[in-house]
Amino acid sequence: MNFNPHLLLLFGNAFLTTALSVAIVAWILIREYRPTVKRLSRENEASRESASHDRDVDALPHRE
Amino acid sequence: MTLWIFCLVLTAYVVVAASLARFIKNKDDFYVMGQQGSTLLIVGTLAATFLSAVTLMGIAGISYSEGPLVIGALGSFGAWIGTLIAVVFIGRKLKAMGCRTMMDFFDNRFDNKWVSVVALVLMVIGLLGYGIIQLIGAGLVLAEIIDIPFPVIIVAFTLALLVFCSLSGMYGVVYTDTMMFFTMLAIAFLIAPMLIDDAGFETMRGLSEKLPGFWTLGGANDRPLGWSISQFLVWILFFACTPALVSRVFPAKNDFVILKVAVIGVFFAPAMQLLVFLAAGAMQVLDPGIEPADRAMVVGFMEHTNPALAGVGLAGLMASIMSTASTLFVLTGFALARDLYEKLFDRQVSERRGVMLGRISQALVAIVVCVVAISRPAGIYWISIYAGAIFAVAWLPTIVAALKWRRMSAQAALACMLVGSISFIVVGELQRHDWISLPAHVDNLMIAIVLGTLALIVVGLWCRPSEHEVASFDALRAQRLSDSTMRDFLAREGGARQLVREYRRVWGIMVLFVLIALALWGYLFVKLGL
Repeated sequence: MNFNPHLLLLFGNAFLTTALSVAIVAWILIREYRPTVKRLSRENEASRESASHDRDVDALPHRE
Repeated sequence: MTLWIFCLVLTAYVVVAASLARFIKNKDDFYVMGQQGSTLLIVGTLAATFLSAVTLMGIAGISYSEGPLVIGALGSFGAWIGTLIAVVFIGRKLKAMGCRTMMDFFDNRFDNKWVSVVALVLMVIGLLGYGIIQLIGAGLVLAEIIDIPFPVIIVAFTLALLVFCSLSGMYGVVYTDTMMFFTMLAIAFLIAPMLIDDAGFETMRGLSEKLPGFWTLGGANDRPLGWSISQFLVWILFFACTPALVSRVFPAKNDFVILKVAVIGVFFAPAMQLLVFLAAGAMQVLDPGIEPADRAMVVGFMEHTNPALAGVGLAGLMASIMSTASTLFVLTGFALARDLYEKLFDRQVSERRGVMLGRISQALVAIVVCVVAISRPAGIYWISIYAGAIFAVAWLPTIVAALKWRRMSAQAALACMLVGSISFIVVGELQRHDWISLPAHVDNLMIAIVLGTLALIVVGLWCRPSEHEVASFDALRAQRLSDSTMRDFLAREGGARQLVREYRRVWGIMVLFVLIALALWGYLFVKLGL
C-alpha cells in the first residue's frame, strides 16, 4: 500500500464540493421550507383523520 | 469524416435552436425562457457553460505534461466552490429580486446611471474578451483537426450562434447547452474511462517514477504551494460572480429547481473535469511526447478510440467552445438591448419591439465577434489577459457588499469597481513590463481585490446611502425565493401535496448524490492513491 496524501486532497476536495452543496441546500430546506412542509403535513394528516372518522361514523348501524 | 461530424453536429444544434423560435412570444421568453427551465435544462446549461475549451485543452495539457493535480487539486476546487456560490448565494438571491439580467441588480439596488454604465462597460469587455479569445484558440485547433480554413470555422460558428442567440434567445442557448452537456458527459464518463482503462491504473501510478512529482500538488515541474493557493483564489473569485454562471439560474422554474441544480450541477463540475484530467494523465502513458501538450485529449479522441467515439469527442470539443461562447455572447446582446438601450436611455418599448431589439443586438454582437475573431487584432490578446478576471476584482466585492451591507452606496460601488479594475490592469502592466516585481505568490488580482475592497469600505463609511439604497437593501433582505415558490405552489390545486413531494425529492437527490460522489471519488482514490 502506498498512501498518497496529495490524491486524498484531490478526491477529498471533489467529495467536499458535493458535501458542501448538500449541506447548504439542507440548511436552506430546514430553515425556509420545513416549517411550512410540517404544517401542511399536519393539516393533511388531520383532514385524512377526520375523513376516516366520518367514514367510521357513517359505517355504524343507525338506531332509530 | 471529421468534416462530416462537424457539419452534422452543427446542423443538429441549429435545427433544434431554430425550432425553438416559436416559443418566443415576449421579452420574458427571450431573456429568461419564460422562467420555465426544468432541473435537467438548468443543470445542462450550467454544466455546459462551466466546462469550456480551457478544461479540454489548456488544463488537460497541464495535466498531461505536469500531472492531474497541478490545477485539479486546488485551482479547480476554487472553480467548483465558486460555481456553488454563484448558483446558491448570488444567482438565487438575484432571482428572488426579480432580476432578468445581471445588470438588473445594479439598476434596482442603486438606481444610479454611473454605476450602471461602469458595470455595463466592464461586463461587455469581460464577456466579449473572454469569449472571443476562447473562440479563437479553440477554433484554430479545430481548423487544424478538420482541415478547413480558420475563417470558415469562425463563420460557421457565428452563423450557428446567430440562430441560437438571435432567433431563440435564452431558449436556444439553454436547450443547445443541454444537448452539448450530453456530449461532454460522453467524454467524461465514456471516453475518459476508456483511456484510463487502456493505460491501466498501475501504469498510471508508475508515472511518478518517470516524471517525479507527477502525482503531487506541485506536479512534475515542482510548482510551489503558494502558486496552487493563488490558483484557488483566482478561480473561486472568478467563478463566484461571473455573469455566465450566475445568470444560468434566472430561467429556472422555481426555487426547488435551483436547489436541485446546486447539488446535481455542482456534482458534475468536478466529475467532468477530474475525469478529463485523469484521462489526460493516462495519455502520458499511452502517447508520451504529444506537442503541444494541449492537444493531448484531441489525440486521445482521434487516435485511441474508435471512429464513432472520436466523433463524439470532436462534438464534445465543439460543444465546449460553443456552449461557453453562446452564453457569453447572448449575455452581451442582452446587455446592449435591455440594459443599455431600454434602461439607460429610458426607452419604453413594447414586448414585440423589445424582442426585435434583442434579436438585432444579438446579430450585432455576432458580427463583431466574427470580425474580431477572424482579424485577430493584437488588442484582443491584451484584453483577454484581464477580461476573465475583471468580474472578480470589480464586481464580486460590490455585489457581496450590496447584498450584505446596509451602508453600501452608489459611490462605494463606483469606487470599488473603478479602483479594482484600474489597479488590476495597472499593476498587471507594470509587472508584465518588469517595472515592478511582486512578492512571491502575490499577483495583481489579489492586490486589486484588496484595493477595491478597501476603496469600497472607505467610501461606504464616508458617504451616506440614499433613501432608495436603504429601501432597496431592506426590500432585498425581505425577499426570499422560497416564499414566492411556496406561494406559487399553494395557489395551485393540489399544490400543497406537490410542495411536500418536491421538498422530499430534493432530500432524496441530496442523499443519492452524496452516495454517488462517495462511490466515485472513493473508488478513484483507492485505485490511484492507496
